[in-house]
Amino acid sequence: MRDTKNAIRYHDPTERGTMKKNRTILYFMMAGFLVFALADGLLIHMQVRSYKEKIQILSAFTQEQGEENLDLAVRLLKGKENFDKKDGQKVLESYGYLKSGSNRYNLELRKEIGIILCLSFVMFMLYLTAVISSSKRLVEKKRQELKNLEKILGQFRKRMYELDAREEYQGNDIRMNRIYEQLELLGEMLVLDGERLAAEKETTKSLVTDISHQLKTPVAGLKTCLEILMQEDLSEEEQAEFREQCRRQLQGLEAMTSALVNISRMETGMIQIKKEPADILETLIAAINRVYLKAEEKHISIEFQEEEDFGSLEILHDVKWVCEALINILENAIKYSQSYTVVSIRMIKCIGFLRIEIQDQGIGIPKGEYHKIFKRFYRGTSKEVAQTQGSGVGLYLTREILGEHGGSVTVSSRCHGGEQGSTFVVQLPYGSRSLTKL
Amino acid sequence: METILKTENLCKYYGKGENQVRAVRSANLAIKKGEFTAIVGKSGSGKSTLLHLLGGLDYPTNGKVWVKEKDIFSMKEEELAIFRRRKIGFVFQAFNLVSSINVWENIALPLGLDGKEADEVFVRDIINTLGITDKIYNLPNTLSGGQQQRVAIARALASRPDIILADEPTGNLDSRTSDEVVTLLKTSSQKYGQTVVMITHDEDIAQIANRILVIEDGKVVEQG
Repeated sequence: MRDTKNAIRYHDPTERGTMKKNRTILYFMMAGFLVFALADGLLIHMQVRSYKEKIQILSAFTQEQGEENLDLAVRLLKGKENFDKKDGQKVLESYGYLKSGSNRYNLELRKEIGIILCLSFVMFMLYLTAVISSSKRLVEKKRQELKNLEKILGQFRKRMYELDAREEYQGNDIRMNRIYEQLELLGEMLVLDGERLAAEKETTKSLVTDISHQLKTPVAGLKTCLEILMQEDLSEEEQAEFREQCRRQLQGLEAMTSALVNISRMETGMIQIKKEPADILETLIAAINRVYLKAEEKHISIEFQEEEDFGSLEILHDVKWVCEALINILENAIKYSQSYTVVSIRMIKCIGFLRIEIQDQGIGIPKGEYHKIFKRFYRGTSKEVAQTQGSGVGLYLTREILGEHGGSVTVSSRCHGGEQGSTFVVQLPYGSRSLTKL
Repeated sequence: METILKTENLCKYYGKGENQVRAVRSANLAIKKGEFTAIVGKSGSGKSTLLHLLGGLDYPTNGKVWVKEKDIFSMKEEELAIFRRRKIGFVFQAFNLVSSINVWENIALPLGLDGKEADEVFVRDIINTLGITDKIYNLPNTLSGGQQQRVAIARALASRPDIILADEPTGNLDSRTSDEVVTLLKTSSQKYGQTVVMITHDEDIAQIANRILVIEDGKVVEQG
């Protein structure tokens, strides 16, 4: 049932198409016929007129006598003589010279009319064949183009997005070229989408592997601790120590799970970054407030410098997640710094981005690790890093969040000069809305 | 993901005998589609030579380069020129903009060379992404270095090449502008699904990449 319906739908437009095409040919034929008929009529009319003129001249001569002939000829040539020579005509008629086919001029006239008709008929036929064959060629070309397109679409369904047919197509038809261009773009889009999908699957897979790997170590540690605790031949002191050990392991596990929840939400796209115009200064202050206590504990002061007076600066960003990103950087700065040091934050308006520099006086990062610290679950190799608790997720998340905003985070050696510590540079685009204001 | 750019035992030597300089020594690399790769090296390490070989701007002494599974040096010169124009976009340190025509024309110019009509919507989108919308009627000389480089990036993106090769794109820019331009290059190439190979001597700049390769005395090695 469905098939027949489809078939009907498929056939209908093509039939209408042929009808329309035939009508166009008919129009061409009629127009050609009219042109030829008009031309023939004109030619024949001219021939008949010249025949009549000849007869009239002859009639004039029949009417005149003797030496007046010369005089008459002169008058005729000068156009002064009117062709009203009924008498002469009558004489010729009475001799039977004016009957059709009975004189030389009449025969010639007939022959010429015949030739005109024959020639124009031949020309008309030639014209007709030209019209038909060119329309056929046009139809054939169109059919070929459609076949090409069909082939491409067929390939698309087989997930082959290379446009070989494009190379075959040599025509200069702009509309056809447009269609091919659009198809090419569509193909590219489909390829890209497919690849994105595959990449997403791949990241999820590796994420699961990474998470299970990351959880194994603390869980194994906890298990060992508990097993030791369960042996009853421990002294009070030892028991207390292992209880403390367990507590620490659990704490680590807790921090890890909350980090993992964040990261898996981010990776699986459960977190949608919702960019809204908001005051970036407030976001930064919120981030500072969240780490303030930790800084206080270590007597680390957080200094904030503006290069110029900002007032308020509205930037398109997701307040919650940008805050999270900034917290991660600030927490690191505090975590890896000695007591009684300074973390300074600078805000600079650049051309397309707001630049936030966060500088600490901590342990610093070796140049070779600049690139690695933003990788998921990467932790520094130095002794200080190994002794500090951390999951290796914070900076990774920060980079992801800022990347989603079209911004970036890097460690800078240049801004830092020769001092101890490190400087993180955050770049956030103003977003098109506020860009025009600048 | 599919490998879009691959080299096999790629070598480029200059001179002969004792004076021979081995600019690139048997480089084997494979770059995946959509990747942003930075090749870091000091000046004289052979990094520019490598990039020229990747882009088919120079012929190797030995070895092969495949772009999209096509051996580019097996092509005739004219064929290679067309292939390069369609598949590869270049961004240079010196911007290389045409100074007598305005920004819009600079961006649309390479499209005209290929007989393509400029897809105005697409080009405008690129221009917006790069934040040079209000500069399109300016002449290049009236723009700052950072703006000029953004125009050059827009030009490279506009012809929808599969690969963008950037040779020290921030070489002439101050550090803040460098950070901005590189971030834009990354954002825009990701948006349009293009693969970028960027050459730089600056490790700060290289951090933005998904992957860093180090070139030293013509040898290319992966950095962790």
